[in-house]
Amino acid sequence: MTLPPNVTPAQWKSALAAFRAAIGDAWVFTSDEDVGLYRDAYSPVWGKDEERLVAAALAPARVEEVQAIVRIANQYHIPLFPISTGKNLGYGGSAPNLSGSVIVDLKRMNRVIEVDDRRNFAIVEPGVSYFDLYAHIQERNLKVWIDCPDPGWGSVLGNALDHGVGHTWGAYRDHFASHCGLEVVLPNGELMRTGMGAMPGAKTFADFRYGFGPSVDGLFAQAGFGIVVGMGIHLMPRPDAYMHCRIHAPRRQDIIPLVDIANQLEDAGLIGMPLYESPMFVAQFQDPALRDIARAPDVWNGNAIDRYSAEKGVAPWSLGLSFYGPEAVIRASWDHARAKFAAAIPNARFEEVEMLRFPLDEAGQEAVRHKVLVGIPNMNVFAMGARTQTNPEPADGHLLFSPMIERSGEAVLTAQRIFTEGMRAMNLPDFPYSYGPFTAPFTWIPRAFAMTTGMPVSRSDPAMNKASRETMRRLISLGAEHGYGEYRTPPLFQDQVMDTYGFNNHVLRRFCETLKDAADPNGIIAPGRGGFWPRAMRKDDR
Amino acid sequence: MVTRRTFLSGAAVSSAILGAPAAWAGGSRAVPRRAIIDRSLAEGEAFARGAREHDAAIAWFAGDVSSLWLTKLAPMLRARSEPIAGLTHAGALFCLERWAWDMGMRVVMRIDHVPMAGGAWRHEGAGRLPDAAAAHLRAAGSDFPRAAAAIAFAGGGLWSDCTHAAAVRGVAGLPDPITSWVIAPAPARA
Repeated sequence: MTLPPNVTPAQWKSALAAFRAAIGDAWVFTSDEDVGLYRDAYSPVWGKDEERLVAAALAPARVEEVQAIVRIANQYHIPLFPISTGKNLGYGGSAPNLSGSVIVDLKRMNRVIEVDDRRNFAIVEPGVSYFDLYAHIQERNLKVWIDCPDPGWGSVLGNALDHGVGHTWGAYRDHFASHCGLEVVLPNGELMRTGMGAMPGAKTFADFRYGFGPSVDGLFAQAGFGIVVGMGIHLMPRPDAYMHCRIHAPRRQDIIPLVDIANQLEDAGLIGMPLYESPMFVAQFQDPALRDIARAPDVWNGNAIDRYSAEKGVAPWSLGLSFYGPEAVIRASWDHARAKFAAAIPNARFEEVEMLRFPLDEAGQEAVRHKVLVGIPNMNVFAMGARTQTNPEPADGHLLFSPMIERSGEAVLTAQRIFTEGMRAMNLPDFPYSYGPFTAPFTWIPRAFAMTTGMPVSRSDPAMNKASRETMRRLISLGAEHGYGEYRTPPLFQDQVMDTYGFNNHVLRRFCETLKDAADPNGIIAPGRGGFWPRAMRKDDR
Repeated sequence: MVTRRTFLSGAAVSSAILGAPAAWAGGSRAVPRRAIIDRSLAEGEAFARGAREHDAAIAWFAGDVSSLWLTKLAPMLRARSEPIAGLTHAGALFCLERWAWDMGMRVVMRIDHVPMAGGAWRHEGAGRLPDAAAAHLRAAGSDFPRAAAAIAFAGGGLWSDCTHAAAVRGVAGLPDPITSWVIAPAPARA
């Protein structure tokens, strides 16, 4: 059994007794079998000393129980690590930054407090998953949509607090940006509401996020300043129709006008999330000649790619556009977009992929091609056959490296080359063909691109994990050298990533530490989360 | 000696192969009554035949198991916690296992079936599944899904905690492995 750091067995016994008295014996988990469920299934240090293990788990059902837990933790100096549904796979799962932490598992707090389809918001507790909120809306035939990440089992609140993302329209897919009002148990056990929630009697908690004075909500995302037990979130009104169209661009340099026009369309509110892909990415695994082109040192001038495209009809870029709204409006928007792209990209090809009219019946929902583009939660990401041409040796999970770059075609071409040549120069493994000239940007976060790639992890192959960890660390450094910072990372790498945000002698981290010491003097709430630590746990060697 | 014929009649499985007391408290008498099968698997029908021989109901899904879990299995298990068995890809089992944790259930039997060259299969059991079970699966040849169902529906004598079993890797160039499994209430709730 792992004990909390600097806590004696006698103190631990007393603390557990206090936790049991506060929330009930049935909801305090201490056996190895039970606490083992909170291990990160995708841990790159599985079974090693560095793996972050937990001492116990507590599952409160009410806000008052969370408050009691925090007060007891303060008394005994027990580090807590709150999770909502614990499905943050690829970014740490439900494992804490600090071994010996006690998980505060908020799954039992799973009430949808309110959904308003006239003012278009929801208020939820941490245990509400995307599936839960979607079902709540469907059962009541409410005229709002949710925005969900690929796996639908995650927490609406938890995903937002980790700066999680989705796939629909503008700010809705930036889940923290669409949150509106938090209810938080502070490190001293007090309950605080942010924004309009701070005003007794206000009816605009989930409408107006700022209230008055400093907006402190950001302190509760990717950080340990409190345990969030309720959140408002803005929802998208259900559109009449949705159309997905695709543009195929025949030259490598076409990514530049492709991005410029898509930026204009999106920022003007005409499209949802642009979906960039390279058809050549998959094609390279079917045609060794294309793979050779991709690996050639002079690939970056684009000549060979353009020749291959002209000869074989395989485009180096495609762009999916999602339109939402009245059918006449979205058809007009598509006409407008098509004209813009046709004028800027000679020989571009256009394709209408899917048209849907809402509401959909059950069969209609099942038939949707890419469900998350229309806010339907699912688990298809786990249903895909793991073994593909692009991933011939699938592992048990993955680490995600997610550097943010500027939203321009030039930046995509530059970042491709930096990461591809950087990995080669460092002799890093080419798994799973992480970066190359066909790497497309992800657009989950509006107004920036994520050049995300995954490194495999395994519960039975320590050598693979070691290679992935080393690759991750070197990619973080390489990205930072070029001003590419990660938006999210597993606990194992959070210190390193925070270290790359080092402007003015790391004043951001130092400011966070100052706040942490003031608000959480015993350092009990998620110490280390976000890459900063309470005073007693700071390393001296930096 | 247990022949393939007697093995496939589920009653023989626990008595013949086990030889050890049931590790899953209360589980030795528990038998799944429902099989969860991915209809996209060519081996699914044979597993279903094996399950029906044990009077099990069949619940099919295709690829994404979430709808089946959320609309049928979760309400059923909330009302009455009981073992379920299945034949799926590892990804579907990963999802089902984690959902089942929240109901106090664990994976208690897991056999990964790995396609090999020439149409053969390799069978790797997790936990304390005896080697004899794998031997019987080998003996079943192409009818191994039915034999796997017989093992799954034989009851709790073969079960042990397989919670952290790693997925078995397949062979390059061949289809993904598939997995037969049982998820059952954890000892405290059995």
